[in-house]
Amino acid sequence: MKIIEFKLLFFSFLFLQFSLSVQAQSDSLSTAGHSNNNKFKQLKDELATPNSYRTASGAPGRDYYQQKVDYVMDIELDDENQKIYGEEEITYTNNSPDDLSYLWVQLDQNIRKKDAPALEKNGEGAEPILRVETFVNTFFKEPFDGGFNINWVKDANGTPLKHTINMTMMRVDLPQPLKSGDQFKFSIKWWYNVNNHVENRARSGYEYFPKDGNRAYVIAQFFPRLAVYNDVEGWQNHQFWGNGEFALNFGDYTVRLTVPADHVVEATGQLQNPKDVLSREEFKRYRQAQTSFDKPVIIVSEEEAIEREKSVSKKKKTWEFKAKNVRDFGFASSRKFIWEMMAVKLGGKNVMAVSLYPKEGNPLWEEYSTKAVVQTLKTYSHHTFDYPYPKAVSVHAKNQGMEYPMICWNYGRPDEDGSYSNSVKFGMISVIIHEIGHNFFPMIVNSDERQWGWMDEGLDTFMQYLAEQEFGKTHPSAIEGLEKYPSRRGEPKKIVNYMSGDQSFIAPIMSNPENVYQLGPNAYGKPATALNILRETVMGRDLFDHAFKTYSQRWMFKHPTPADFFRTMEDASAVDLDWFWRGWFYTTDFVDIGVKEVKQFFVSNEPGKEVLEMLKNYGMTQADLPPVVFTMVEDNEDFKLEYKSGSPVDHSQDLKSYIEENASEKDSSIKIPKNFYEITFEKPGGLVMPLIVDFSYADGSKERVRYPVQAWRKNDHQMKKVIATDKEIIGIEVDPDQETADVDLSNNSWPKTEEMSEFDQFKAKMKN
Amino acid sequence: MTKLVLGFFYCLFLAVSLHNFYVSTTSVRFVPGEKSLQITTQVFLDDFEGVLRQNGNDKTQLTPEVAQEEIDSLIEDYFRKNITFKVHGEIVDFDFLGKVYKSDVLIAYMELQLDTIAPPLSIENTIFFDYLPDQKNIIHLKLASKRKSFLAVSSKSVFEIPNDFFNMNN
Repeated sequence: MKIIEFKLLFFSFLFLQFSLSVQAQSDSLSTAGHSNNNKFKQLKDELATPNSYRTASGAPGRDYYQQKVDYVMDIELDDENQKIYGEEEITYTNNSPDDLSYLWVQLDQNIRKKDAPALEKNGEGAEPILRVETFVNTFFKEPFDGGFNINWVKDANGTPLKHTINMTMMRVDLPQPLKSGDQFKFSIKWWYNVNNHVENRARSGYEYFPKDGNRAYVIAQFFPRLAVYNDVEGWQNHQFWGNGEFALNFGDYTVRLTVPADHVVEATGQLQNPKDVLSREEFKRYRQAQTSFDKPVIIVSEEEAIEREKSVSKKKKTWEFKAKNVRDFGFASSRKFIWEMMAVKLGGKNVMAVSLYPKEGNPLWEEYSTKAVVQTLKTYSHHTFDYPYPKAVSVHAKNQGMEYPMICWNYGRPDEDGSYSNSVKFGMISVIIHEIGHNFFPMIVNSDERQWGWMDEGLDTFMQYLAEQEFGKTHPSAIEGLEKYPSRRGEPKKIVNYMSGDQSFIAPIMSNPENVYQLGPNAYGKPATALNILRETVMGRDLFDHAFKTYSQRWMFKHPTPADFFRTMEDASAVDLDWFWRGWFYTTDFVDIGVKEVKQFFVSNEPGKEVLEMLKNYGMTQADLPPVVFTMVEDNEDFKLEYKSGSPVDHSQDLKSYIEENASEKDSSIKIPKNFYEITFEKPGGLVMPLIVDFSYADGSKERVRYPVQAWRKNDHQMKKVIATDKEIIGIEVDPDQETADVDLSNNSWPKTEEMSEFDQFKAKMKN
Repeated sequence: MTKLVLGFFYCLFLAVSLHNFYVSTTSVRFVPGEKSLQITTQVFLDDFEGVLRQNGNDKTQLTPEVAQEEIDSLIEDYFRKNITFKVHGEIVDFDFLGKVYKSDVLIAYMELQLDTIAPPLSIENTIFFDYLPDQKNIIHLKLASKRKSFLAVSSKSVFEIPNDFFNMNN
């Protein structure tokens, strides 16, 4: 009893001593106080307080609601004058607990008005070098006359509704407040001039083909769309400035598209009247495609498309599409289109994988487009939920990469003679995977892009990486000569350049897309890499995949916020990730962890000076101590050479007796190691990360040790670890597989290897 | 006035998607022992291919599978035109050591001998500004543990390299 008490006293005394010595290093009393700035502090201050709409576990709460907005639209495309006309009937269902006295409608096209404030959103001044077209467009040409012309806004009885336009938002005042649970029907008639999307790199518009005089239209953000009203933002009526994309409601669509009779059309939703718009032969192929699981069926061939290019029909045809539970509607229309589709089985349902492209896309598009669509549907469904829509369409549009429900526009064009380089090919496959992938985030897991670009772009770019790697495996001939699919984003070391860059040009991931300097790495590359690191290094694949799937399924057809994502990933895995979100998502810190010092220490029979000093401070002598083991590093002045020889047990009487007693009990678990090391790891970087270390031993063996990230929680700058081993350590390497995005590898090894820089290696190679 | 503002059309309506964020990285490392500046520039292959094609080399394919001689001279020309070092306004030539392909990027190696050159030295980086209006070029200066970065955009592409960058004692 007494001995135990004494031991406790002794150990608490040791700890006291330790904490005293730590304090002694700072100027104790004069230091100002501080708030909790520990890297492991929970995110309670940053995340909204959970409530009955959104729970603390990250799931929709019992009072979660979302508005429903249904559209019935008649649209006419005037190819001759490049105008588009529409009349839409909107049914707005107020599922919120609140009464609404007005509705906000988004007029995204107004960003192309001659006097749009968005044109003046930057302040960078004159540019010393400009492309000729840009210079001419800027200084010589009249500005494009874009934006919505609203003919009228009427209620269901035809009575005009008062409306007020503020830039890209229109407020429609209601005659009486719309009660919670009630519906309101109203109509809008409008038209606008369609822009050339190639000239101004827009998300929507037409491309003109001077050789045959035809246009290919990819049309989106083309009708007044209801803004989102919800429990987090109220009305999400943050203006459209160009970068922050869309926040949209789910609803059902019936859209009748009237286009020149010789156009081929694809759109969000299922075609309702194929017999009316397709030739007998085309209809036959269309039917046949629905059960073609091994390869696409060509509905309109290249030869047929070329034939159509030669004339212009004055007649019109109306294509009718219906879509259930989508957040938007887009369509593509041209007489130039080649059209192919095949069926994919996903969770017992058939989904059509479709490609639509002008001949200018061939031979690249007939080879890879539909294959990329199929791969995307499979990989994404595996990691989230079975793709719930009836089809997914990849449309070829120059310079474009843009997503809408069931349909998207993608670049990748060969030379005129049909040849193409690897970068064009992989660029095209990657953009198709990315844009088709957007069906999952944000089309179905419907996050608010206007506020949080990363929630769809980051998650989608992460999934894109997985799908691309799968594509490489399922289509080995496509990556011939390469080890794996050359993904641009996803691997940790690819984000190092960005994260180690000048802090003045970096913003945290948790920033509005309008206010960042480099939206690519900010909203795409860094969050995608962060998720990849979570999956491979922090959580492991099983825990991550389950949590990611849980998030996807919880928020499928709903509107999640960042907190819902952060909370679900922890809730479903029991891994505390607040430190990770805090560092990677809320700051611009980077990873830099290294090995600083390695000291070998030995068992000694006598205490060193510092131990004696310590005992004296407490009025004790060596005789007062229970059985203890003393240790000493080689450069201690009391060190004796003999400590290095033989077994450690030979140098400590207490240790020896203890071993002998226990050995008599035949305790086979006791093994006596020859060497003891204390290793100091340093962390110049602001981010905390698990410490991954390879130890190399003199006998040629290697051992990988992973220390938990929590080892940084009390000292953010360095940690010391003790290794007891029979073998002699001859080398230490931190993050040997470069899986943490460590920005500076020069401190990652011991002994410091003066490795030839890549530059010197290249120079040496060139000289030989 | 209304005409002036149209210049921003490009950045305004950029389809916010996959490849539309154009960034190159150039690192400039001073090696005191050799009195040399080691310059490494990394650009995306598809962007570079687009530039060369726009500038009249329609058939250029940047891939190791084709003959490299012509490509090498196109690449060298392009880098000489678009990365320039000046001392008191005079261009100083660097050695163009060559390039390698690495996955979807091209890495070019250049070296500037400083034995006869006295700072102040400026660097101009206009890579792809003639092709992509939204291009941004990051420049990292490195000396031992010291680092400084610049972001070159088409309206600001010349930077003075601070004199203390060449001070070996720092």
